[in-house]
Amino acid sequence: MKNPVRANCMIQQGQLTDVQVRHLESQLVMTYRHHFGSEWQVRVVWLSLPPGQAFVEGRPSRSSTIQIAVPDGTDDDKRHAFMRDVSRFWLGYTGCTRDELVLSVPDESYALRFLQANMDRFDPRLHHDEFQFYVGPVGTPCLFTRLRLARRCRRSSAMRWRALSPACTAT
Amino acid sequence: MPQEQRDALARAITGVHCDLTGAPAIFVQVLYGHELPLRPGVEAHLLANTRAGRTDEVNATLKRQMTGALSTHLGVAAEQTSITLLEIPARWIMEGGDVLPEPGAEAQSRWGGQEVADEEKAHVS
Repeated sequence: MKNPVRANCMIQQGQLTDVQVRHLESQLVMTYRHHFGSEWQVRVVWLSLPPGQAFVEGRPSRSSTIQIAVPDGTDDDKRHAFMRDVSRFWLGYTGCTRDELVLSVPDESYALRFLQANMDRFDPRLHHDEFQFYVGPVGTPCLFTRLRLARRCRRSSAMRWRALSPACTAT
Repeated sequence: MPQEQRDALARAITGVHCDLTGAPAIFVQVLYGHELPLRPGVEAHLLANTRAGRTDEVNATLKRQMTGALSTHLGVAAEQTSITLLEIPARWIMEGGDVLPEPGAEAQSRWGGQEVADEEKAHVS
């Protein structure tokens, strides 16, 4: 039985071709398993952000963001070696500048807290019968999951809709 | 939400964060999600990841000022907004091959020379 882990990759719409996405996904899976063991089954979820949705420095963003959890207690040397390898192949293959790649590699327990914070902001009536249906077995944060949820709920006339929900990575 | 309003709110969030914490503006990313089913009574929610290591007072001020920015730019009451602030160790984040510095240590990093643009500061005030 392989250990599941989810990687969330957010890119700007039109930035990468399907071929590039498949190559990057393959590299990410291979790199993760190289560093953490072949028992890990990495599922990569891609979110392509349309223009006008993402900003950095208060301006339209060209950045890609990768979030992928690692086992709790992973030491910095091991974590940073993995992060450097991911950065190296991503920058080398895409040709983006080094400020256009943000890589977040938290402990798995932090990733779960982030997911919980994501869930907590939703209407609690959804949690049991709707949201969990879309949350994968690992439970790492997943914007794509939220969008699928939104589409599903749009079809339900019982739901009330909210206008806006910004997410901010303000470090 | 009109593009101009999104632009203005993104600049305001960036400005609030940078003015209060001294972080380089390049560290601030803002992503919008629309039509998400938020809790009853909440019109806008801000989920924020920040580097760990700041005082509780700074984080409380950050939340208060972010609430003000949301309320002002969206035209909703502060009570109709909510904010979740999560702290993540800086050493778990890398930009272009470099680990982010701890809060307050930016000057010793490759991001040390970057300033918050005047334009961004103006949107906060």
